[in-house]
Amino acid sequence: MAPLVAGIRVGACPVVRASGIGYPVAALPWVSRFPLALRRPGEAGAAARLLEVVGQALDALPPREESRLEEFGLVVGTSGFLYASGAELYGRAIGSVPDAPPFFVRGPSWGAVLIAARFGLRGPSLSVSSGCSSSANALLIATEMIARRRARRVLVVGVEELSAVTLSGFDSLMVLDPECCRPFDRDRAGLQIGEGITAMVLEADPDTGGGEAGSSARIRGGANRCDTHHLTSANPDGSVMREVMQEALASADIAAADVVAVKSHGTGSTDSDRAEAAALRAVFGVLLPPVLALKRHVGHTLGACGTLETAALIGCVTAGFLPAAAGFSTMDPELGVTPLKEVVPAAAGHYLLNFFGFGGNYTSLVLELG
Amino acid sequence: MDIRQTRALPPVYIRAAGGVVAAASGMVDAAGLGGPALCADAKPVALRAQVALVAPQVSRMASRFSQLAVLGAADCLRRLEGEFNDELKNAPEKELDNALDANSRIYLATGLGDVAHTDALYFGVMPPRSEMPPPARFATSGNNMAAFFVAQRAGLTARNLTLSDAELSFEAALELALSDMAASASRSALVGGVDETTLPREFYTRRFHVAAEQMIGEGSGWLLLDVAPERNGIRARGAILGARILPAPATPDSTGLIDQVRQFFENVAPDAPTAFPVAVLPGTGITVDDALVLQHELGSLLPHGVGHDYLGWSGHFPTAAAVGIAAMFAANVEQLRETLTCLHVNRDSAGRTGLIVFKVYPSSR
Repeated sequence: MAPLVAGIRVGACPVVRASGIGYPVAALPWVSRFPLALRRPGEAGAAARLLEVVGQALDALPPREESRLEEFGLVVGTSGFLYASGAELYGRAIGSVPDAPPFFVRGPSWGAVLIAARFGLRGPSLSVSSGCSSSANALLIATEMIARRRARRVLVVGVEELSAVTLSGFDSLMVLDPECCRPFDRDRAGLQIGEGITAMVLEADPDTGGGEAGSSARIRGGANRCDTHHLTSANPDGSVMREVMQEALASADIAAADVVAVKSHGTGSTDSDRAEAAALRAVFGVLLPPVLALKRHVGHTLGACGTLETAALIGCVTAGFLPAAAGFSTMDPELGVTPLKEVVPAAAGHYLLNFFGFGGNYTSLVLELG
Repeated sequence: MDIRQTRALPPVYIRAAGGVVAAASGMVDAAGLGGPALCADAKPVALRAQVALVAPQVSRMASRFSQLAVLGAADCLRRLEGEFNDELKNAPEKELDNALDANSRIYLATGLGDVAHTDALYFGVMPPRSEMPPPARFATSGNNMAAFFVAQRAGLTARNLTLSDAELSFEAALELALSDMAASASRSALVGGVDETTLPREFYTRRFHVAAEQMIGEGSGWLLLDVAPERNGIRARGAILGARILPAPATPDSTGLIDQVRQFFENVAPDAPTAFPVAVLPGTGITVDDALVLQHELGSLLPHGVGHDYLGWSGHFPTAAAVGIAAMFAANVEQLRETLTCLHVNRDSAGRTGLIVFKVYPSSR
């Protein structure tokens, strides 16, 4: 099997943006707020935001690469980008015709079609919808495209737009924490929903020179598995989460002891954190490395969290620190996992990143950073 | 590295193929694929009772899109399991548990996703009703839930992806599955295309530039792929020689399409044009004019070419290619005396070309 490796050109991706929608957004490197006051509603606004972020990422490429855009591969991960379109079209339908038929919904690859048309990308293209692991799977597929020489460079986009359907849906499931999320905390009570767009360029031979123009970040491996225990609840024994982490480590040809830190999925939900903690204990035993939890900082950006949290972690490590898990105060003895409580210097090495979604879709990535 | 290069990969074998499509009398399984042409748009029919029969473990709250996916995949798996049951009569030492590789991956392609279920969510949540969605309805609304239920039915926990690439979604999912197998990342995969009817037809025809006379359908077609030509003493039913999505040709007319087809076909099946009969399956993006030109132009390339217009009975939907290909195994295999080489040709609204070359083996092979 070809070695699974792709460089991440973070320097070409200073455009990670997230909004916690009413929640504080910490000053993580490369994570900034959308100017909400200027946020255009509806389908046109969603499309404009997506294309703006992608455009900024591509503008940062060296001119010689910009001229090769048509050869770029494109992989988009999202679970709810279409909601923005649907909401607007629904509004139009019921506003103009009281007994309107069902409105027309665009397909899941709508975002990719917009991007390819706007920027002239003509390489292989895919859109992935796998719940909260969508854009993590997009990163994994893009890495495979490069390792298998199907593309020199791949633009990977994770995008999630909040909508009335998303917010009310999670509310109806009673999984929103009104006090913001508290990953792995004894008193955790649910999610803190966010939205965001991240555009990253993966390439076979990263140019590591020139400060922010390049990066030594590399994806070294990854895996995806499906937990068929329940469509919204993880198997509490964490068995499939354990398997996906171990498979990711094996694909990177490293042992658990080689992992510098784990970027947990860490949603703050009762079941998911319990299963992830059990899986972490099974994989690492008593030698559990520092566990990072980013969702109090950026919100749970659902299908976009794969690319957004990957970029945020790269930003932190490049800046020389690992962020503390905001929101955590009291250890849950049932979990036996305490996330990093204070900012510490970042070490170079391998990082394991977890992304677990509804539909039992679990993805782990191994990054080499620093 | 040339991303447009169409290098041949090792063949991947088809262990089973099946699916369901809508028909005037309801859903029919793959045994009925290739039946009489639709005379009207396929209307949504209730599926829950059929799902309960073939996949009782699947939640009653599963959306209709998910039900469609499960029914098609179950039909494909039933053929495999049935084949094993027949074999078991004469070879009891073989275990049925070996019928499906436990590490089989699932690649579900869809052009439109879970449309009707999402429609219903909006109607409840948006003004004037402004209601909270029923929790179960929201929980089952993700596009990937269909692939979850297929995994649950098949008992598979390996890689599970829901993929889309506009009108070439099935071609894209198949291409990724073949790439994974060529890279030795997997030995077995269940690859399907699923889309449900999206009426009224004016929305649909406007979106997909469908001819006025083309009937709209829905369906779920699945292929069980394996890297080995034989598993547990059971021979494969066919093989995929290649699947590729190519950029829009420089020449926008049919000439560019023909050149792409010729180059790809010669690359993945260099012996096919003269050594074997060839079936040509025009996909949803191939207009009547395109099909006529293909028929004419490919005559010299594929002297034994025979057109198979599956859209006449499946109706038009973005991943109809999946049922069109699956039907070649259901409908034709009994009549085959020699291997049938098939070419599926498709084009999307951006002008890209989707090509799939596969073989159907005769049952006595």
